[in-house]
Amino acid sequence: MSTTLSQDELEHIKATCAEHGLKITHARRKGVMLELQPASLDALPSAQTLRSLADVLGGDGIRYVTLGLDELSTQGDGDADLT
Amino acid sequence: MQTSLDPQMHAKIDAIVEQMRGFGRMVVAFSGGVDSSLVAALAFRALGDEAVAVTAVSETLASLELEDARQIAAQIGIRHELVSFSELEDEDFRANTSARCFFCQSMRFSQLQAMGQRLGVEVVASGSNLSDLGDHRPGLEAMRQLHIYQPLLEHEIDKSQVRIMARALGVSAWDKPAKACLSSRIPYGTEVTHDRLRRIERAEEALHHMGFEQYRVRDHGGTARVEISTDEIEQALTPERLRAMSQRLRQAGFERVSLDMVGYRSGSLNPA
Repeated sequence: MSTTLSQDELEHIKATCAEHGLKITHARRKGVMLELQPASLDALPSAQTLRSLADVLGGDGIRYVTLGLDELSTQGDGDADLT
Repeated sequence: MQTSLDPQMHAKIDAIVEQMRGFGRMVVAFSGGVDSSLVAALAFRALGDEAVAVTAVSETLASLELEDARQIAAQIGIRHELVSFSELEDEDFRANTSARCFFCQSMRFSQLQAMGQRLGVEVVASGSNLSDLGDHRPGLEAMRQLHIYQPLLEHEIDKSQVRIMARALGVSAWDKPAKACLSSRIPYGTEVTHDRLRRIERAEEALHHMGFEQYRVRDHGGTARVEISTDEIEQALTPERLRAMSQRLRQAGFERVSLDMVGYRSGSLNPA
């Protein structure tokens, strides 16, 4: 079940993400999962930075902090050679 | 490549082999993971053709895992049999409470004991190890109730030692990542169904074909929360890979795809 984040909550999340080098367009909370929508899949922060950000945003009922992949996934070739 | 063992580990292996010889015949519950592979290798060393590795095939076993099990059994040299059963016929299992594994392992090991009886074998062994005691493992209670032989647990061998021993014995699965059954991807309280299991299997196969080695696709009501190991997550963070991940997992049947920013952790759906 999705929970609508308040504008203040959303702004706080955006600011926290920006401090860690991640620009997001919006965020959504679904139960214990907080999904961040990155503005771009290019130049994402390092895995270590994303983990640190997840630690900061987690808690208060949020068990999982994630990057939403779908809204940007049509902007490229998903069948590109990945090997 | 084999590595040498310290005297204490050598002594434990010798003790287990001696113990197994005393049984005369044995069925090893065999998933193809490093734990059961070690037990199978020890059983074969002790008993040769009087040891049988049996893989229980059910809805929660991924096809890739079954194929792995066949190959590893062949590499060990142990006789390998399959037994089929259905977990989804059990409503307690489908309900997916925190006791799910108790019901699953009760069914699984009952099937293995029945198989043993058909083969004239009394002892059924599992690969439970000392590290399992510190985790949420209701399946261990099921094994205790059924009097399953657990040599690694009995001889206080932890996970790291399992891998060292397996490597020393030439077991190819010595460094194989842990792979729990597919139902562990579904949060407690959400019914385990055939469609959900197959969707998860297709999604994890997609990650396998993308080259990842340790991962889980957790099913949150149609949203795939993808966990990639901390060793591999950096290589996942390219636009091409993330787009491919999204498209392939949606092709697998998920409505939304999300990458967990912490990465793979065992039991992430267990109660906090």
